[in-house]
Amino acid sequence: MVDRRSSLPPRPSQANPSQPRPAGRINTMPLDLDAVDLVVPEDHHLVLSWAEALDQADYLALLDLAPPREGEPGPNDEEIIDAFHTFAERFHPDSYADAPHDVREAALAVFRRGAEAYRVLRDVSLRQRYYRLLEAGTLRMSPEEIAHAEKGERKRPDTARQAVKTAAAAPFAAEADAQLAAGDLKKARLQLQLATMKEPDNEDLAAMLLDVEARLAARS
Amino acid sequence: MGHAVGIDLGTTNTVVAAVVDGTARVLSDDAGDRLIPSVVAFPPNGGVLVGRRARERRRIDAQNTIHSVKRLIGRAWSSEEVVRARTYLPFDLKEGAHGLPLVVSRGRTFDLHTISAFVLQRAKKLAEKVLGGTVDAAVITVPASFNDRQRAATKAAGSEAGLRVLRILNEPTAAALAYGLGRTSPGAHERVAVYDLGGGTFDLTLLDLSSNVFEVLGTAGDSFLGGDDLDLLIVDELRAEILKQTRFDPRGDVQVMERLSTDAEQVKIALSDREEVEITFRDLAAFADGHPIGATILVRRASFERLAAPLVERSIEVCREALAVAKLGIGDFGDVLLVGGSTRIPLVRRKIEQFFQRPPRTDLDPDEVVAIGAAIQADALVRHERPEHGEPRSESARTASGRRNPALPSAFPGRAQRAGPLLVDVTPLTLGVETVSGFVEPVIERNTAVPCSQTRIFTTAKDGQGAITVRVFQGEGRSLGENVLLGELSLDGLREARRGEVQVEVTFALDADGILQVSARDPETARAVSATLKVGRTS
Repeated sequence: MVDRRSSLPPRPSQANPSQPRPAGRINTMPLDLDAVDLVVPEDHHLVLSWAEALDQADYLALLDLAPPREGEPGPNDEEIIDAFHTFAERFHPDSYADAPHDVREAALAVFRRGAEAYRVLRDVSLRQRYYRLLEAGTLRMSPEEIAHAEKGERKRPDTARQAVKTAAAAPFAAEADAQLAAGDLKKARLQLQLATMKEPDNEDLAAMLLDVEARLAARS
Repeated sequence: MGHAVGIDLGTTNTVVAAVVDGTARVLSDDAGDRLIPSVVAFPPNGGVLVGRRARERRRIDAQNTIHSVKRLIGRAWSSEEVVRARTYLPFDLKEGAHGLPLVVSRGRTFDLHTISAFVLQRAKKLAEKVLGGTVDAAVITVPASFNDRQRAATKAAGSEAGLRVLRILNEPTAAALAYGLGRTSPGAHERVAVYDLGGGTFDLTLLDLSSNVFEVLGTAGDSFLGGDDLDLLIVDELRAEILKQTRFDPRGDVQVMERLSTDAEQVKIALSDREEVEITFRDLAAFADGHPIGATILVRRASFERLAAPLVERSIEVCREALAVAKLGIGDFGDVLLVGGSTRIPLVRRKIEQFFQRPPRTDLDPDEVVAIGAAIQADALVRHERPEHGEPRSESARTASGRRNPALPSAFPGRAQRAGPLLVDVTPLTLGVETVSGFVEPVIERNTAVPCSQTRIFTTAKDGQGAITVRVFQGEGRSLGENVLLGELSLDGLREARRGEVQVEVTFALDADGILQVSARDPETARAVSATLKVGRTS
């Protein structure tokens, strides 16, 4: 049943079970009022209600993704990208250039929150951290938490070549980068192991090696 | 309502395109020229010349012929780029208000965006002539790595030229649009790399394209690497050869150096088709006895390639970095798209093919591809403003299944049908604020989708601190020096209290153009300031 009390619009599919949605000609004269009422304002209403309900929405609900359940890992990378693209089509401000000001602002607010959600969900480690917060009832990851988690990563150099400090390790690091770029994880692992032997205390190298091993394990 | 066009406002050349009868095409002037040189000249009669006729004046009146402003626009007087440019640009620059550089010519000064506005006006007029009506709106492209100030300055140039700037669009995204990529079946993804070697900058951008949405996955660049730098290599070669043959050193003569510079570009272009090019200089100067100085020089492709190889290698390094940041390998990509005239150089193509292990796409003209994409986007944006021209919205809203929270709306809005794909761009550089300890604390991370906003809470650092100054930086370094200072913003009237007791909310909001708005708010008094950021004098 549709919950009228909540003042939210019905699902479009229920309001119009089989009819295709008419063309969105909103600039025509009032004679065409039916078309106006049926299409655009309904979507506008939905945008406004999403903006209002924003603080009740967790990141997964916002992107229309199913939450992880017992024994299931939750959505994978591809599903998250697809969900964000669909979300972007629904709420990106470009789609509301012709809408009234309040609707434009509402879409912007929803999109910004969606961008925040995507920022967290598309990063494997942030995603896991967020699931734990969600279990504890927290819907949003605070900017401090995101930044804190990222700061840990930020210190990590992007390439092995940047990570090493000695000339002895440099050739192995360069080769590891080349192999990583070429997508050969096994060869990259070997080179990283060799570089690590030259610089056993280099945490950045160790982290890269762990990362490569994790990616190899995920593959098999 | 007038026409909307796409404009690729380049370091060296500007290209304008429009969608006519459903097809995007580059517009050419009466002489059939599609490239408008991004050059503005101020001849002695007090007029202004733009484009080809302005470029001709580089050879005779270099001091009053302004070019390459894209390298400087939106940058601080004290920035490395401006300091470097002053060493090789033949016209005068001086420091103006807010620490921004000004161009000086014949006793008049011009903002850099005013120079760009002259070029944009020329593009607008050309388009009006071809399209036969007013052109009042445009999508203008910028390198993906442009920061907030550079984008804002470009937008200002557009407004000054009498154009409503529909969007500041990233060049690589425009290129992907031009190739019509992403028009795959629903749900399918295509990943492309865009290698953009422009006149002044190099960028590599990685895009994920699905049927309706283009998402930027990551971008990396080098703002000191472009076609101009390749020209400089040839200039150096020519200069050395002239000195050797004639004992005349062109370095002492700004005007002769400008001639070498314009000829070097022609030599570079010719070497893409030929193994060697012979060039003759006459009347470079006169010997003491009045005899004119001249020289004939043969430049071989092989020797040019030897000189250019380290620069091209730097671009490949950037490719490597971009892949590393996006955590992607070469195998994750389909097409490699080329943008910028310098990608015609055979050496560049060979290196790209070696690195990406596949030949790059070359079916569209690398000089035109960005303008075409911008025109497609301009068309899509104005269509959206005028829905009577749009296609009907047909897809019914997908309903969230098993929604857990009854407070949430029961449905999503429909997905808009659009003339072109929706672009979801990212911010190319991390935005942050200075902390007491002298580091930059990130507020919005690199590669975050825009528009976005983020609020952080900061506390006072001293007892009885009545005001707080937020200094905004952009860049990837942890320390201040590695980042660009975008500006600062002060909030005063704070309650006097022990340090750490007073909190200030700082909000960063990036719009779809990647332009930043910063605001600071004191929750106790509800006093707020929002920034018109000033670019700092020195960092």
